[in-house]
Amino acid sequence: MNLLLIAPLLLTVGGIVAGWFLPRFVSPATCARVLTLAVVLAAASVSSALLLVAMAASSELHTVSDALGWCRALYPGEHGAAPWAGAVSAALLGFATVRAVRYRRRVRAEHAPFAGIDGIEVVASDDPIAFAVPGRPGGVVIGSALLCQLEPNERSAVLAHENAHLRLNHHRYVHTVEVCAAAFPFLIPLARQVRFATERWADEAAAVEVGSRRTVARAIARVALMPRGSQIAPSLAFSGRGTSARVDALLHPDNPHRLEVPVAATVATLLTAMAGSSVQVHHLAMFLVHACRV
Amino acid sequence: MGALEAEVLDVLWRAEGPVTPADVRAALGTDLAYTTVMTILVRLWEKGLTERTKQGRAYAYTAVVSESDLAANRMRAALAGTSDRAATMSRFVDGLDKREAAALRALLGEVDG
Repeated sequence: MNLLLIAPLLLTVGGIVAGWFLPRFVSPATCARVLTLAVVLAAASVSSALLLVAMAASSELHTVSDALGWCRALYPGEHGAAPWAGAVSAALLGFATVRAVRYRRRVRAEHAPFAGIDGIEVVASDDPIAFAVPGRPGGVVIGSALLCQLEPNERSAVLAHENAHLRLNHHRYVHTVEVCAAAFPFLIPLARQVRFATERWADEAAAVEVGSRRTVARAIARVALMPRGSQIAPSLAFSGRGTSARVDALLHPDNPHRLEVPVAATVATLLTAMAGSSVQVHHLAMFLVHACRV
Repeated sequence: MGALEAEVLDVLWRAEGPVTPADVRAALGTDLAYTTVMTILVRLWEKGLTERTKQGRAYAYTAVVSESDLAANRMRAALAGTSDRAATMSRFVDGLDKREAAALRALLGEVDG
């Protein structure tokens, strides 16, 4: 019964711990898949817990319970959720929905200019640009400065990396976890781990493609160190803590590699998850008892 | 088509001199039709990523890699100032802080040294 409440907590904590240790034992591909699943399950269980609390509280309101008819028989007064808890839950759910929708809109807006892309496009830019544009037909955008300053085998590595993103549908993992993280910010560290795992996955695919881990490592390091005019939007960036881990992982495949998640973010996540899942545990439990008896 | 285009461009990048469709086919393996390779080469040329010269009956293609030679095309105009619009895409690298840059320089020294 309490599983529904404990599940989000367990999934989030478990996910962070897994995100920490999984890269030691499994491939980036497995890591990305497992963590994506954990994020989706955590988001789903938090939403359902919030929904239950909101429903339990709304049954206390006479106007609502009269209108719905079924509520009053089900919840005799003292066992429902407190109105404030219901209001908080409903508000959290509302915010989550708004933020998720906003993220989807942002993705659509950012992808719109690239709708016509088919294959490779080189854009005039002094910034070291290279990214995959998912979709049909989809393609890869590369900045002219990056293209001109790299050696041929490094260019191949960049191209192989971006092609791996397209071929392996990495945008599905990334956008799924980013929607969940937009809705429930305590999932942001986990979403970062998934992003990192897809980058590592594409690096490994590129290393196979060009036949050299060193070449891919060198390409990543050189591109990252190229001067850039415009700052990259910080919201989705790794706060600069993924690139050297990727290079290190390519050069020293036997070392344990993990993305550095700032301690503060981890603690905040744990606290949010705990608070979120223990909201009105008693009331929710009572609600479930009633729900189960019906 | 996108992945094939990348493979063909990669062949051109690695080639020492001008490359004919037959050369590209040989470099990629033979499972691709000649016309497919030609179509891709023409597309790359139309995008301004290659230059071509008549060589016998076929064209020979060279990849354009110098900044001044990369001809403008319709996409490039549309995508001007693109880097800050791509925050939700999977980028090759992200921004760096000082500590990260130092770590990368050390790793790069290790690769080159």
